[in-house]
Formats: sequence, C-alpha cells, structure tokens
Amino acid sequence: MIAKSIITSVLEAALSTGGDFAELFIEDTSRRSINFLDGQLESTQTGRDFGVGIRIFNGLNCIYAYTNSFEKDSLVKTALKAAQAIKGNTSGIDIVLDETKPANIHRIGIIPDTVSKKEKLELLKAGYYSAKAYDPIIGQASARYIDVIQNIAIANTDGLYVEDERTHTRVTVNAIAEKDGQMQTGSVSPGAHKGFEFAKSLDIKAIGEEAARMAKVMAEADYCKAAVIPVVIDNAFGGVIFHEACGHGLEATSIAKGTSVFTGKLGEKIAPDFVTAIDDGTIPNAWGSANIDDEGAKTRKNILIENGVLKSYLIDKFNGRKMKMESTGSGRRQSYRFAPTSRMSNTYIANGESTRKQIIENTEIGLYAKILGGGSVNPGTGEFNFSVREGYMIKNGKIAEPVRGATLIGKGLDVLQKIDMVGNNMDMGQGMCGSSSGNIPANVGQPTVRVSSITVGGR
Amino acid sequence: MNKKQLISDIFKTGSAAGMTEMEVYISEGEVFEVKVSKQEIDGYKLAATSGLGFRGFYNGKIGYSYTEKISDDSIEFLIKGAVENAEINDSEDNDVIFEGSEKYTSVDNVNPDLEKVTEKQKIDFTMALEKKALALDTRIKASQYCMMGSGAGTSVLSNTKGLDLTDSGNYAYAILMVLAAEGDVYSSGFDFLIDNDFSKFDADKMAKTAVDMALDFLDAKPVKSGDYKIILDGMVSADLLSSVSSIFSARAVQKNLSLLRGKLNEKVASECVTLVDDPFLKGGTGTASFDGEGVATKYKNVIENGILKTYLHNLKSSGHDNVESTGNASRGSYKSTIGISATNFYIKSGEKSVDELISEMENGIHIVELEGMHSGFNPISGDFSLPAKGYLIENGKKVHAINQITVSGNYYDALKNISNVASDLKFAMGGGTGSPSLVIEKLAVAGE
Repeated sequence: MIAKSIITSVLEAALSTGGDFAELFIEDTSRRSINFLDGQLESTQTGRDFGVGIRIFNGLNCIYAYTNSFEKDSLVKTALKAAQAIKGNTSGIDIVLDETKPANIHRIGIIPDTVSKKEKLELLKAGYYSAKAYDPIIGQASARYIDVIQNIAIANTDGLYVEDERTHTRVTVNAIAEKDGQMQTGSVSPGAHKGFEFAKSLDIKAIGEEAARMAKVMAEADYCKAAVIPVVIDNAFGGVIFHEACGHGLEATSIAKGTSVFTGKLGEKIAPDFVTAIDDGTIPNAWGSANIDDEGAKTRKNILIENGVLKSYLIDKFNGRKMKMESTGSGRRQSYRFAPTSRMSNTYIANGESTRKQIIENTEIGLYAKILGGGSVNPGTGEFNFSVREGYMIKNGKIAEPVRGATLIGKGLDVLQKIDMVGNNMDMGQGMCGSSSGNIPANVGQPTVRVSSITVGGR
Repeated sequence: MNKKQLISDIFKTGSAAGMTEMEVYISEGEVFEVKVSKQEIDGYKLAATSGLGFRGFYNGKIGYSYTEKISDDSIEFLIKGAVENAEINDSEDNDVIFEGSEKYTSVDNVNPDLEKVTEKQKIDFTMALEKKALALDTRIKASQYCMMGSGAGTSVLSNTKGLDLTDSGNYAYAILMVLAAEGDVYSSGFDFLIDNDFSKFDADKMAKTAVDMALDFLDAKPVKSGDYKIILDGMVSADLLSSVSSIFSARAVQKNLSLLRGKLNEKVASECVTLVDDPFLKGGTGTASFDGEGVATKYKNVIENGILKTYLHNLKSSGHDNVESTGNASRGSYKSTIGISATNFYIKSGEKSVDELISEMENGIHIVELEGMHSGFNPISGDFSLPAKGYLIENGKKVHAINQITVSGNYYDALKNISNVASDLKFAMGGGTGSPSLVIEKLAVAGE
C-alpha cells in the first residue's frame, strides 16, 4: 500500500529522538452499508477509510500519531512531530524489513465488492418483509447490511513487515411490536469473517421471523419483578456475561495498571472446577478471528481459565513490556486511529455435562435469560450489568411466563464462583465490543449456564 | 493538493457520469491526547485527519460515498459508489441539495487562547491531576483513567448550487477516574470537564470530586427494593436525554419509531420542563451556524412548559410534513448520510439548588450515576432498568452511599413525573445534551 522505502524512512524518523521501537499500521479499507426501513431504502453508503498509525515506544512510554496522508514528506513530518515527545538522541537502529506471509485460514468465498448493491438490497427486503408478515402486532421493521474489506500492512523496527486482508459481513433484522401505546423491539444480527457467501447462506426469512417473534413475546410480557434469584443464561450470545463480567478484567490494559480485580491472581482458583474459559482468535471465519493481531503477531487459542484456575491474561505488546510477559496475540484496534491494546476475539465458556433441559428442571424458581442484550463492566471494581432482551420466569422446573425489562447486575468474581451448572450446547453470538482501542468485532459464547444467585433489576 | 481544484474535478467527473446536483463536505482536524498512569505518560496521541463526503443526484435520486484518501485516484471510487447507491434508492421522500439560507448567525466557536496552550502545559496538567488525586487519601490506589485532550476542526460544505460554507471550532477535555480500595472492597469515582477555555481546567477540584465519590462508595450498600422518590443528578439526566434524543427526530416520528408521534402541542412532560435546542450556546459541542445540509440553525423550545412544540427537522423530513426545516440536519462526519440531530439540547434550569431540593425531599434517593445506558435503556419503548449509585436521603439528609441497585422506569412516564428542576445545568460527557438535576416523584428500585 505504501512503498517499503518510504516505510523505512518513516520508521527512522520515528526513532530519531531515542525511541527504542517504532511501528507503522497502514490501513486501506472499503465498506458498504444499506439500511432498509418502512418498505423503502433509508440510506446506503460506500466509503474508503485510509490512514496510517505510527507508534513509538521509549521504555514504558508510548506515543501514537495518525494521519490520512500517504505522501512520504507528510508521513515523515508526522513521525518527527510524534518523536518530539521523546527527548533523546537517535539510537541508530538499522531497519531491514523482512516480509512474512501468514497462512490465510479464513477463506473468502465471494468477495463482497464484486456483488451488486441490488442483490444485497433484495436480501434485506426478504428479511424485512418476513418480519412484517409475522404478525399484525409488528408495526415497524428494518434491515441492515454491512460488509467491510480491511487491508492492512504492519511494519516495525524489529524488521517485521506483514500484510493481511480481513473481510466481514453482517446482516441485521430489527422488528418493533406495538401494543397499548408501548413499543418493544426484537433483533437478530448474524455476522462472520466471510464474504457475501455468508449473507447468501443465511435463512433470511427465518431471521426476520425470529426478530418479530422476540418483539411480539416482549410486547405481550409483563415487567420483571426485582429479585435476587438463580438465573439460567442460555447459550450463544449469553456468553456476553463472561465477556463483561470477567473477560474485560483479564485484559492487560487494566491488569498492567493493577486496576483489575484479577490482578495477581494467575494460578489461583477463581471459579468452580467445571468452568473452563477460552479466547480463540484462530477459529476459521469466525466474527472475532484474524490471521494476525493488529500488531502483526499470530493469533492464538488462549486458555484463560482451566477447571476453575486462572491460567492466562490477554496481553498486547506494550502492556507485555510493563508486565514483563509475552504478547498473547491479543493486540487489537478498530482502525489506524487507535493504538492497539489487549482485547478479546472469540471468547467462550467451554462445554460442561448438563443439557439445557436438565438445568431448567433443576431450577425450582428463577429467571431464564433466553437472549441477553449488551452490557458493560468497570474492571476496577468488577461491577457489571447487562440487559435481558428476552426472559422468562422459571417455576417448579418449568419455563413459565415471559418477562421484560430485566437487568442483571453483580460483580465478576462473585458471579464466576456462583456458576453451579454448565450445559453441553456451546454456541457463539456476534457483538461489537467497545473499549479504549475502539469498536471491534468479537464473538461471545457459552453453553447454557446457571448462576445460583444474581440481583435481577426490574420493577 | 488544491482542494478547490479537487472539488471541481469531482463535480466534472460526476457530470460526465450523468449526475446532476452534487455536494462535497470536507472536514479537517487536529487531535491531541495524553494519558497518565502511575506518573508515567501511558498514552500520547496526536493526529491530523481529513475526510471527504460526497452526495449527488443520478436519475432524480440521491447517492452517497466518502473517502479518507483525498486524492485524484479516489474520484472514480466516489462517483461509481454514489451512482450505484442512487440506482437502488427507492425512497419516496425527496432529498435536497440546498441553495442556501438568507442569513446565517455567526458563531464564535474557536477560542484563540486554547491554541496557545502547549502540549507541555497539557501534560503537566494531566500529571498534576493524577498526583493530586493520589495524594488526597491513602485509600486511593490508582487512577483508572487520567487524561487530557484537545482538538480543532474545520468543515467545508460546497455544492453545485453555489453554496460554499465554512465552520470551525476547538475544544479541550479532561477525564479522571480513580480506584479506591479498603480491604477487599473496591470503588471508583470520576469527574470530567469539556470546555474550550483552558483556565477552567482545575486539577484540584476535579481530583477532589473524583476522590470524594470513590471514598463515599467504599462503604456503600444496597437499599430495600421498592418505589422511591428520586433526585436524578443533572449529568445522569443529560446522559438519559442523550440516549433518547432520537425520539424528537421528525424522521423517527414519520417512520413510527417514536412514541411522540401525534403528540405535537400536547403535554408530554411536567409544566416545569422546558427543553431547548440552542445552536448558539457559547463553547457548546453542538454549536454551529449551519446544519448538515447548509440550512441556517435556529434556537427553539422543543418542549415549552411541558408542551411539545416541534419535532426536529431536516429538509427531507420537513418536505414530507410540509413545514420548514428546523436546521437540524446532521452530518455526524463525512462518513454519514444526512440524518437529524439536536445541536446543544438541554433542559432549562430551575430556581433551587440541589441541596435545597434534597432538604425539601425528606425521604428518597439521590442518584449520581447510572450505568449500562446502551443496553439497559430502550429509547424506542422508553423503558429503562439500569444499575445505579447514589445516596439514601432520610429527613432531608444524606444517610449513606448506595450501590448494587437498579433503577427502573419509563422515560416518557418519568418526564411527566418531574416535580422540580434544580438550578445546576450540567452537560453529558460527550457534550451535546444537558440537564439540571431533576426531582422525580417515583421510580422502582431493586436492591435487597
């Protein structure tokens, strides 16, 4: 994307004041989106993101600069300006870039920019009309399509030069049910590290119906009553509980500062024996996967918790320096606008022994959180929260009436220790995870899991 | 490269491809940010950015495209993308490339003094901020975030109808979040400021606010579940308003995505609530003389003494309703298509201070933090169920700090249940929306 001779000059400029490491992240990304609402095209966009991020380390200081320019003079000027933050003399490192080609484990079937917008729009229409036709209670629906082809090159003063191409495709159908002047929403939003073959493979009609079903059930539900009760969290997107409650606290971003509740707990028992949790950026074509991370390190399968014992953090290059530990291939960023930091990829609780049926039958009274919404956490205190998009009460071991407006709150370490049943039906769901290095695609996953007691907010 | 020449080349290439009216929107900016941790520079960011958004008509329909690579080799990409997008546009509502308003109110959103503040001054401020916070109490273990940033930007709107507008602004912000620990109990406190006047950045004050909050909540505990009278801190209320602001968009109303549909000139809030959209607010993050379509911005009451007076319009939505645009076309960035958003959107202050309202309240809860807004608040239904922190109030006095509770209700109902508005207008962290502290007669609290 940019000639290697220019890259070398920029890296040299970056080290001109004594920095000990410099890195360039060059990005040329094209993206296409379509929004279909109320039976018409609402908006559609085609764009090209282009920029260069320059990162310099000086011991435990980190400088980051970025620019949209691509000309040599302007890039060298940006590097020199960034280097001014360091007061020293050039260390005279001789930079020889050695190109490596990582194996591509994410084969793309149909390159999305070769497919017409018309064909993509037809797909959305099918999803939209299927949601609308589901039931007269569905007052409005919308559908959204996004595909992104991200081309990156990473070069650093250790001599690394590596390129990668990541293709993501996602389709969303939203439905709104209206009853007695109230509105409730349902949403289904599958995505993958794949091209248009992914969108084509979807049963779009079923996706529209599922979004509508969720909206209808919630519109007809009563509000959840506040209680402290056992909660059965269903598989797939339910894994957002681990992502929020524990995953963020295992990121080196807060571990290195000593501001995570998991700091200093490596090797300790932090969960029951039957809890094993994994972050795996290598799963072929999964939403949160990539061949390399955004620092050029090969992605890995990292076992975070094994049989209840904390085995690993998620570590990026810079925090690894602070912690005197190796990167785990977890340095990620939204774009050239962000310095990378440790992030999750595809994070899940591994399968246990029970079936969903057994877990529910063993719960006398509780909440069945069938589908969770998003959530957030303060890694310092471990306090998390997330919303239940579709929930039901469990009474005498049976799923009873639907409830809406439930929120789960608690603390990460507590909730881990209170997991008392783990199912055997692990699956994943797709989300966009937001943190200091921006919004990135991340899979969350788990089998059906029961937590013996959680504070459920409601009214 | 020469911008005027590039714009002219884009219009020429568009014309040759069969496009008629066209528009280019260019924004350029500079960004600086420093983060401090343990008295080391933990993050140091600087950037020069630019991007170009394009839209134009092809066969009577509008199509959009954008690029961050501002060069000749992006022109073909822009035109090809916009034409393909226009070809699938089947919207019945007409977009408009605008010839310009008669008059624009000039806004002065650049503080020249801020440009003179050096990077060293900003670093020194951030270092001092952390140092002061850590020195205030031995129970303060670390800063979770301690940063300061600043930025400046210029946007240019230029179209084939002869419109050529420019707007500029600058801003600075500081954020501090500290972690307190006592035994096994951890608690966080934070403060932030966004303003383009560097003299308002007071490290002592910010450190004390964040530290006091973290220490207060070390011995916080839940309260019994039930309905409580609530004083909602202004910043918390501003965050809620920010999450729900799309319901005031005429487009959302037309598309049946807002429960304010059919409520014009009806009572939607208590009489003490007046909600204004003020594009001329000095130092406001939404301050602008023209909107995303080049229409002159206007000051207006959206809710006046509880009555809904207007929705927010752009040219497309106003054409649909046969009214005038309210100057609320949004162009979040060159990457966005035209939408609708408020400028500086805030509830007007009342007479009494928060302390007076607390002492008058007798029993209830003063909520100072709500979390999980993006997931626990459904702006379409208005339903929220959010984890909260606050203080239990008995007989007009603070009794103890509260955590691990959730507060639930419905935003539309809560607006009608506001019995008093304090005098302490505050803006949310992202800027844009503001509110004084509000007394809400009843919300459901889940705790013990």
